[in-house]
Amino acid sequence: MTALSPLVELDPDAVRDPAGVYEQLRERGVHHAPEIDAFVVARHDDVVRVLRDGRTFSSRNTVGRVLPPADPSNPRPPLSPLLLLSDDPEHAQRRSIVNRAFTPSKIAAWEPQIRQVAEEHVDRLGDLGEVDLVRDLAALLPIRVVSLVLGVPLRDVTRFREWSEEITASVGNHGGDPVRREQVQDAFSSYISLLLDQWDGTVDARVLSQIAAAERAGELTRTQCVSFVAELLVAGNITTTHHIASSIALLGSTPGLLDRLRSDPRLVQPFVEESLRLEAPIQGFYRLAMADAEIGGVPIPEGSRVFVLYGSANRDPQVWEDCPHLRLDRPNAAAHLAFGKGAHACIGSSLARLEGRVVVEVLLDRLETLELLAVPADLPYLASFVNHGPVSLPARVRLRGSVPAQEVGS
Amino acid sequence: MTVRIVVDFDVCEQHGQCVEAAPAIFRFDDEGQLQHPSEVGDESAADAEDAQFLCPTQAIMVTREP
Repeated sequence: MTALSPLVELDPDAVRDPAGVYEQLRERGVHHAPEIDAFVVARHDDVVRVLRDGRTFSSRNTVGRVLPPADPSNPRPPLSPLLLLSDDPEHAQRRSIVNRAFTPSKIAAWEPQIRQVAEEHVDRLGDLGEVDLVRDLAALLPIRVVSLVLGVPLRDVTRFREWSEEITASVGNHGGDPVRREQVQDAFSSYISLLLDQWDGTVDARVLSQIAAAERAGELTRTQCVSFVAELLVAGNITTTHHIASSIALLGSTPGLLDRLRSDPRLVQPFVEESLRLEAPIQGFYRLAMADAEIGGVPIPEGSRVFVLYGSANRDPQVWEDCPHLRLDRPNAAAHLAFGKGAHACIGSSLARLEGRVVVEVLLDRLETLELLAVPADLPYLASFVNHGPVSLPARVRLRGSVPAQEVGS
Repeated sequence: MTVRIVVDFDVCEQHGQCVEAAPAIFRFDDEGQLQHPSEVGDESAADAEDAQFLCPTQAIMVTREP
């Protein structure tokens, strides 16, 4: 039994609010946790050091295990991420190709359309009365936005969502049905291939057009193109859902916050950063020590697994004054590690930030009232100590200018 | 609004992605040292943020100050 045990055992209270566990882990410093057979790194500066040293700390086991090497005799190898599990120089070379599509200025061009999608979904809530803001909003938006930014035609979004869910589920699911996995992967690959074949040769803001251009230039193979799209879906879907859900939970449970943001809309971006800091959708990832090393004065033998806790770094009082509290006036608001740091920092951070801000702005604009029907301590969270976010947010919302549902017909 | 730019030279590995993305802000001098102003105007904010994003070692910190 160590400080990490409640998280590894997925104790619902610890998973919902891991701050107490992290505090103990930071106090203890770097140490080996037998539950996960890894050295736990919880202090901010140690976390940054590991993330910045990709030579010593490899990303090949980021999700906790090393994928078996590709079997050359398998004509249909499972899709594997292009970026997440690769190291430099391979990683840097691949990333430089796809990075160009995700710069803040390229992503900023999508704001009007993302706002339109968000408005559509928020307006629909008005007809529902009692809603679940995860099921009815946070789970729906990211796939619509990813489809938009990729350039997937609207008519295909439903199919695309289904594939996305199955591919996401298959990633952590070793016991899944391999036949089904292959079917989904084939259908998905054919579909993306079709879109790439239909590419008209013009490069615009749509990410698929940029991937297609990289393929034509010989920088990516067809399989890599498909893998990259799959990686974007897996990486940007549940994480963004969790981010939006956590922001709504904070909005609905922090007294006075809604009014404060309404009175000064410039505070929405700092709020989004605080939501990311306090409720990072990815709380931690693994690294693999490629040589004998040292973190925070503790020797790390070659071959050790290292578990790097972004969520704890984000609550380190050495870096964050008044750290447990949501504050909208932090000078270093965007310096949190919710998107990681170093070469593997989240490629979709600009999109996530934009989407997070736009959703909050639309909610502030459209909602008359937002009433969560559960107190924060009762909200169910995903049973994971890597992914972090509520799975359900029962609420009653009233849109501006609408008649409260219970008064209709009375 | 002021846009402040700080480069952590302990982390910078001179990949030059910032020079490519925002040549009006970042340049290598004759000795190969990265040079940049510590502040730029509004109109350069987007370029500075692109450079921050593209830096492979995340050595650039850009903050907008009202």
